[in-house]
Amino acid sequence: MGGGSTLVPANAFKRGGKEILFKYRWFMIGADINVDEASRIKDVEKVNFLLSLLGRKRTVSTRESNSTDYQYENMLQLVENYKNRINFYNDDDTNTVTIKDQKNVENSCHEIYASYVNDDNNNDFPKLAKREHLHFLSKSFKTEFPGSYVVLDSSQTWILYWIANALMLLGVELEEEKEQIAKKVLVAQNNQYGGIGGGEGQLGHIASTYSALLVFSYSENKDFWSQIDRKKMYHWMMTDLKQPNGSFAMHKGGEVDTRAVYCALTVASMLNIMTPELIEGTAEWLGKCQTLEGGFGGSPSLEAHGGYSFCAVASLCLLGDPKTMLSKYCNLPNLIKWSVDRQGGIEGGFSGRSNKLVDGCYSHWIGGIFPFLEAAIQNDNNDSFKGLFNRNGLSNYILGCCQDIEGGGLFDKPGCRPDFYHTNYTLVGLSHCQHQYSFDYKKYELLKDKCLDAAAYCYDVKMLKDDSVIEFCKENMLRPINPVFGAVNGYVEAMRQFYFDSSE
Amino acid sequence: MSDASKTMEDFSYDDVTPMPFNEPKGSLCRIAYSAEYTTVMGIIRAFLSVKEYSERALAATAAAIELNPAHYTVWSYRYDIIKNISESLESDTKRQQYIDEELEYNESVAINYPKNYQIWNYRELLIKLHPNPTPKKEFPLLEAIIIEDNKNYHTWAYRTWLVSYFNLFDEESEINFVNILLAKDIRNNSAWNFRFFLKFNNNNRKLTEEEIEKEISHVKNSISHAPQNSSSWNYLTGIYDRTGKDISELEEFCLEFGSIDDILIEDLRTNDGEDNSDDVEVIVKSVYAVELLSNIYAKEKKAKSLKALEILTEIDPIRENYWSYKRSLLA
Ligand SMILES: [Zn+2]
Repeated sequence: MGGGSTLVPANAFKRGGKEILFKYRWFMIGADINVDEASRIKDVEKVNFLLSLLGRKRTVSTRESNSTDYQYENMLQLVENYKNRINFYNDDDTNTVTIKDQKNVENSCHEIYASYVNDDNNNDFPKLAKREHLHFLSKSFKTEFPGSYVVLDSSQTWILYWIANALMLLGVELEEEKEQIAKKVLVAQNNQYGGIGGGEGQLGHIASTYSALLVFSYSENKDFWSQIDRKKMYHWMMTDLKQPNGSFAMHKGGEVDTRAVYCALTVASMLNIMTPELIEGTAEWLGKCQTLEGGFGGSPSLEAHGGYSFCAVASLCLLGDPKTMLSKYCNLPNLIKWSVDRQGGIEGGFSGRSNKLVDGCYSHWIGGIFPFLEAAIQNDNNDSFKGLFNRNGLSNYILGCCQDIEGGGLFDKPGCRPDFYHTNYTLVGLSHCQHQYSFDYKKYELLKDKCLDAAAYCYDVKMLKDDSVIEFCKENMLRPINPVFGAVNGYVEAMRQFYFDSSE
Repeated sequence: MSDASKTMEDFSYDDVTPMPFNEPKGSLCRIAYSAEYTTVMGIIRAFLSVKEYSERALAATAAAIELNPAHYTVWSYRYDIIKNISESLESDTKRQQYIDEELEYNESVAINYPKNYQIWNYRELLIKLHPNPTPKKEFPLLEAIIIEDNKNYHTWAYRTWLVSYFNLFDEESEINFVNILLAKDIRNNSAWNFRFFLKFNNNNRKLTEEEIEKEISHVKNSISHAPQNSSSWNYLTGIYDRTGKDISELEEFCLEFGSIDDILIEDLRTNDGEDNSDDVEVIVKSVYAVELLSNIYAKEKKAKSLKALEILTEIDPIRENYWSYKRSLLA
């Protein structure tokens, strides 16, 4: 194709099924973009209106509520940043899809923050709607999904993990669900070829296996634990998944990317089946996925992306201590820069890529990179820990812009509906805000020659108490996680210990 | 000629005992499958257990994909069927035709579910199986999806794979595609990333010094049009990183967007009720320029580097902790 137009016919194809009609019309490359002048003018009017509000309210700078000072200050700053943003757009570059979408999101976040900051009635700042979220989650856990959920048929172990993990983060102790969880996981185990699939009778898939084993650890039942065929699992991983270049495929013949690597390494670690052969060339391959921007793509040459970056960084940090791994296999300063750049100055939340919109789930995919970055640059006298990202800002985004405070559940961004995926990952992100992880380099020195995945078990966690870093609020507190696995602290560790003991 | 356009209604499944789901009612997160889905999946599972590779099995997978396009097990089985049948055909011409038809089928699903993980991987497998693949046939589909959803990660990943696999780095069409997309949206980071891939990951050759300079002036020009665009700044520093060039030669350029010496920090601090954003506009046009200046000065002009970081703390306060970390590195 050249610079002209390329056409795709609005056609219908037939192949072994009913007709699948193109939902698409004719496409033309190079067609002029329609500038929606009216909506632009409306935008400007809205900005002016909000600015006038702001001017009026900015006199309310001291608020008589000590408990919310820093959250308030942070919101005020986000509101302030909104005002200043206009300095950075010029006429030349405002007509693009990127800017249009970005402005819409900035406006909707700003509206929310401004409504709190300018609130004369002294309404409370957003709190975590724990009761509502618990209701949303436990209701979904137990009732049958309607037939329309069939598209999630191959993600059943994921749904199980998202719901159970979110419940656990909120402080729930699972009870009778434990046995049901374990049975559901075991039903999805593929006894013929190995691995765990998305549900009963499905092919083994390493991401299904990862999510299944995380939630399996919550069952805390050795009788069930012993029913995982670890030998078959290892054989499957070595023959169907491991690639000659050190990477892994999702399933036999499936896509190869950093997610598959991450899932393979965490699975091998949880089951204590890691060998030098299994991880040969893996760290080197991961290193090749770092991009010009500093984040990681799904595979070499692809664009830096939050989800793939988390997977790559956590994988490297499973294979060794963060200081060494993130310097030896990647450019650490570039990774830090790219990661901090993901935080939106007006929204407070994280985006997954450059020039993309904030999204609640990146509270974990990006937020979850920081425990490793902060551990990689930690020095021993870190009594004045500030961290690398703005925890109050992310917390404001999650609490202010991602909660369904009526029906429960959390979501991507204002205007979205809650789902299990976003509920879990925004909560994990909020937990990241509230905790500081440090790497126990001394413990690691003692362990590293005994097992290949020792680094995954050397993180210490501390609840952050400095309000200037993250406003402490008891009602919002969530449990800490193991930063490598993304699961509530303590359970994966116990399960691995069980497998470790049974291999002796 | 294959039975490609046939549906399940065209075959008999009377001899097949569908394998039922055994998951008991009341188990967690159970999906209430429709009768149709239960039947189709039951048939597929029965076929899978005996590895039946037939046209009627193919028809069953199409029916399943229509009900649930994210079912990786079904896609994987479908591929095995196609591979098996195509290998049994007696000539390359027939094989080619058979796989072409399958590519068309896949395309129709891709157009409807462009964010689906399975589709692109499946396409890649088909192209590898094809006796005489023509990458250019892939472009209309890719363009249709990218024009509609210009940052679609999977589609870009597939295009990247195509270029690598068929060695299309130097094809006019590729750089033209990037240029068209960037002309439409200068902030399309996926397009910038692809451009970098074409220019700097080229398997065939390394860029000449002259070409690198041309690329640098191209991106500088883009920055001048949109100074607060992270994509083009990252591209610029990416070139310097990759080629080992010295970033200090960018000092002049950066100063066009933020002259550090002339800025008084006090001017940047916003006081209650006072709007001085206009002043900021005059002196700082790009956060990224000031950041790059702080890096340029970090080695030999620490005071200037510190000043730049102070400015950044004022104009980009969300990254306050990062700027203070960078300050600590200068100490
Ligand atoms: Zn999301």
